[in-house]
Amino acid sequence: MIANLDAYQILAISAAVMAMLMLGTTHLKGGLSFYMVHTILVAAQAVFMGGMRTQLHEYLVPILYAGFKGVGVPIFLTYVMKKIEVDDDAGTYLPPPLCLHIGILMLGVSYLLASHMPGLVAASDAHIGAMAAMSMLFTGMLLMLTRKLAISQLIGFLVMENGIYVFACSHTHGMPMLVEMGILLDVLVGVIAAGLLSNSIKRSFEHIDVTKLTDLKG
Amino acid sequence: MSAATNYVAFILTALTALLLPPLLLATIRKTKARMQNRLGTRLFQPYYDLLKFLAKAETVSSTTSWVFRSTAVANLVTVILIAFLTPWLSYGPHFRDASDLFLIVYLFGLARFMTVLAALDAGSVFGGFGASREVTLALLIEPGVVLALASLACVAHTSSLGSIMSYSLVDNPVLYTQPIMWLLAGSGLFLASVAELSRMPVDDPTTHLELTMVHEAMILENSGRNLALTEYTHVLKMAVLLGLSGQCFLHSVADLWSANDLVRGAASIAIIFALTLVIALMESLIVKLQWRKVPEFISYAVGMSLLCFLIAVGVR
Amino acid sequence: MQDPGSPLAATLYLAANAFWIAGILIALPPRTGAGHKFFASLLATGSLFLIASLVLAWPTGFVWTAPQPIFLGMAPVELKLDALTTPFLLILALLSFAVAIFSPGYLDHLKDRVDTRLYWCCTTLFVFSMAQVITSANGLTFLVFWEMMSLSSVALVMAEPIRHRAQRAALIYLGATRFATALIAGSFIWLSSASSAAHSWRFSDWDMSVHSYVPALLLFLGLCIKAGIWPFHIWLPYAHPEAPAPVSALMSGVMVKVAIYAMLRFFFFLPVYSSVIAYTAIALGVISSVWGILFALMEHDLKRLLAYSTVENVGLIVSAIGLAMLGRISGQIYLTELALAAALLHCVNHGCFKGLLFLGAGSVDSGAHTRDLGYLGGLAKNMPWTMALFFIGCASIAALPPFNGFASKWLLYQSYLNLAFSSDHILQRSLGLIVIGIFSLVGALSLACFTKAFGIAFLGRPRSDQALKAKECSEGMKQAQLLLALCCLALSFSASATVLLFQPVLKLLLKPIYTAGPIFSIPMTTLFVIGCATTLLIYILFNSTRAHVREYNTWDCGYGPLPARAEETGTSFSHPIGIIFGTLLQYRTITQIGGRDRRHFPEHIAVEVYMFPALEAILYKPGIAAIQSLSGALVKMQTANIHIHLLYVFVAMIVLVCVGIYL
Repeated sequence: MIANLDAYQILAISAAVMAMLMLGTTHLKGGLSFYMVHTILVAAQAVFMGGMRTQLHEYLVPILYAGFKGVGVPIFLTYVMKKIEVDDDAGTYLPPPLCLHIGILMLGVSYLLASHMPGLVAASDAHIGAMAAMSMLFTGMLLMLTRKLAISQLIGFLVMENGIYVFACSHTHGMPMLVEMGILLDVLVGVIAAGLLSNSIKRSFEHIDVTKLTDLKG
Repeated sequence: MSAATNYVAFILTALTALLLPPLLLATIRKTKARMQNRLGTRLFQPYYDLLKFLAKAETVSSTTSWVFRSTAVANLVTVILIAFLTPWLSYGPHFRDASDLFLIVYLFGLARFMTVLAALDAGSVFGGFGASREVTLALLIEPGVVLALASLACVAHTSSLGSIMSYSLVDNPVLYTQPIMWLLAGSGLFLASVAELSRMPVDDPTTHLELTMVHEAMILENSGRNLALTEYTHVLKMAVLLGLSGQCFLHSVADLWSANDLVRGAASIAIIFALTLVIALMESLIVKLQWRKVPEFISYAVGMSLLCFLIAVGVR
Repeated sequence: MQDPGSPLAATLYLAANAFWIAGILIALPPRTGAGHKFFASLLATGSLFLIASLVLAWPTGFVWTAPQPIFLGMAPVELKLDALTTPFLLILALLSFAVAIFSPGYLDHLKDRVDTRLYWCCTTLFVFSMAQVITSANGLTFLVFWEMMSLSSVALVMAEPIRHRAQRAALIYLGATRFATALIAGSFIWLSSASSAAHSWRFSDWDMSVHSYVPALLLFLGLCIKAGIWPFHIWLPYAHPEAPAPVSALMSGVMVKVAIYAMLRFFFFLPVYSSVIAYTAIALGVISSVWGILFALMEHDLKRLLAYSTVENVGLIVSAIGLAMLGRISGQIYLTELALAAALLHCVNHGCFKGLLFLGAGSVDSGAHTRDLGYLGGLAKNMPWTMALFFIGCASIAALPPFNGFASKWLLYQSYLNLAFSSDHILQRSLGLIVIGIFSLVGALSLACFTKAFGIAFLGRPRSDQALKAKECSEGMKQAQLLLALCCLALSFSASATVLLFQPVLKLLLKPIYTAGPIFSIPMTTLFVIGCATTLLIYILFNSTRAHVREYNTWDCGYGPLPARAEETGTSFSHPIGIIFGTLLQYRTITQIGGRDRRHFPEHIAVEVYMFPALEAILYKPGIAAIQSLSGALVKMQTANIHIHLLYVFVAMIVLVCVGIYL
């Protein structure tokens, strides 16, 4: 089963596993390094999709993707972290080991779901990509649900975006450049906004623990 | 295997088990020393240390009973049995039934049982909390180890480690095609071994602060002959565990399955030294974790085993 | 089924019963002059006759119907001994023999706190009724003797009536056993009325699949309550510790096995092919094993720890039974045989080592006059025999090779591994491997639990005066524990022979489809002999060059000997694990630090660890509160006014007449 996979499928699964490993640690720097490797692998699988690529612009978008989302975002978030002086996640609702195990079991669940999903493309190899994508969606959801720090939730959101990207790639073997640029712009604006807002939230509210947002009620 | 080759395998394993383990300890110390810009001890220093301990007088706490006095020998015998039953070297004697993976895991449990009781026997504070931490660590490690080995057993349709770790395509037709499973099992076992052997980042083996000890606290009461036997048991256990993870890594290389015995034997020893170097590098570069964070580290070992398990149920 | 061995075997069995009935009757009159030794010998002789009859009747057995004057209303008293009953009767005979030898010494220690007449009468009645439950061949015999078994054990839990805890425990136990009997009786009535041969009460006439297995499910629930499966295990940690130690040994070692025997009889002998029951059994068994050992680890009362450990072991057995049912439904016969062999072997093993552990706890109680781990310690000096035998029990229950616990754990692992690689369905394969992972966690937890139990109680320094002045137990108590320890060792080294001996049992349970039986293939004796030889070699090698050994007060750092309060306590030993599993255990710590300057110069520190009983609060207390409010509402209907009651009677009469006319 494993031996006869294409390169891009192996890259997709490795990306999913990298994202899962992020669940097991509350140390933000470690989490960001896992995220960086994960995004670069996602960009790489887009390059290897569909065999040899002859046109330059088909390489351009994955490289931009890896550059902005894979390298730029972690650098920016490290800068934000230094400004607001956090090092570790403020807390989690679920202990990180349990999160990691649940994330890995979700990979199995997404395999079952993907093999029963009616594929958009008749080719059966889209199932592996769909499995990796769904596992990334679950991982992102787990991160957003269980972490208290806004930055971790942002990373979870970005992982979910990656999952959607992998899903689209595996089913359409490449998207029009316009759609991909749209995603990148969307992500960029979101990250900058969240980063800037984190700074100003911290200055006015003294912490960016999202559980304390309930103080705003009433 | 014919009787003659079995005898040769037995003698070779005995020689390796006698000579190799202290050399591993020396490698770790030398590597750490070089990374700290020191010269380090002689390469054969651990052997001299063991001989020195044997010659020294023993002091035994007056609170202890026969449990403490017999633990050092009982542990040594148990680990020697494990060393001969487990296929941690590719040229070891192969047993079908006696190398059952559950027997091996529970023999390790027997050694741990005796060690913990010996620690509680002296009635000292250090032994007490060392014992408590040891059983907590065991609790976290054991599911990881068993799940990794059981996933391999599930694909190989047998629970005998001798059959799982054999290099013949006749015994393991399906496992030959699963290099990723071997890699995951090997890394899971390696991370679990790091925790079991009380290496960084779980526990600092060279610490002098009792509050940070896990393994050292349990063997504090030993001296003289008992200390020599305990130290040797520890390094033999290290060799066996690293050998087992090393065999998993070697099995992922398809060429080794068809190589001849000499190449495989050399590769077995080489991978043990490689893993020892990795441990030494980890000890030099990574800080010891807070006791509260240790379960997170061990969960990565269990995570690798879980990934291995996912592949095992997918493969028929 | 009449072969030359049977009439003699039947006679011996009836003789055993006669000895026990004599014991019960002689204990009844208030001024009986008989002493402990008399009743003990009656009980022991009965057990010996039972063993003789089992040996003679193996493997075909016999059938016996009580003669006419003895009749239970709708069916006679029918007893049948066959291959399935033999292992369970063997455990019963062994444990009752050990209890008979143990009790005189233990009762001397209890002196006036226990009414010895009551003790002997009820213990003999308990043993007698358990034997009849196991050999009963029809539903009424089963129910009558089941009730006798339950009520005699309730009386034994209350053996020290002055203790409030004992009263409360007996009440909880009584409630649980009412529910269990109600469910079983209801299911029996349903099955007998739906049976093919006109309301027959005989087990062999029943069809369990009637009404799509609903009566089977009721029966399963009733047996789960009696066996102590989560979430019905609440009564076990209350009842087993409060009973006198020999009775606890009988309850943990045999009574829960009677429930297991009933499961085997009803779900295999009369086959049940319901996958709902199979999966429920596996799920509940696995949850019980984790829950039981986790709570055992947190306990500081030695007998409560052992009671929770019984919950764990029964969980293992029931999950094996569920797996066997699953295997039978999907047609994997080797899997079924493996799982059944695992369940049977674990029943026998657990009876032996749990009996030994409870008798050891009783011996500790009689010597040190306390069961609390916080007051024990250092008993190695004064109670060496108890310590050595308790060590064998602890090593066996932690499933360490070469002791007997390992063989049954190994068979359990093998059966789940077989499920993992031979099943077609991916979810069943995942279940097999996940359960192997969970059971290895349970194994590590039981290692922690029993190192705590043995280490804190026996090793180190005494934590109280009582432990300091402890005395070794009397000869009879020593001999009883020695007997059970020898049985454990015999089972350890003859595990493969024992599994082969189970083949007639498996043949009986899987009649039409039996194939080759499972084998225990690990050469335990060879390994043990090699181990001993190596030990000898090492001693010879290193002892000759051994330098001088001196005894000293180590690690006192110049301050002199440390007080016993500086030692590790049971609570601190299990504290890290309590933190890790805090949500499951509802583990809370209360710390009170007091003094003039709390932060810098604390004068007194109090730390208390407790576990909020979540299961009782969420599941049981609301139910009990609802029943109580319902009862309160009904009480309002019960006035002392005669006119109101006459009104009730007349209204009921009119309603019944209308119902009779119009329906």
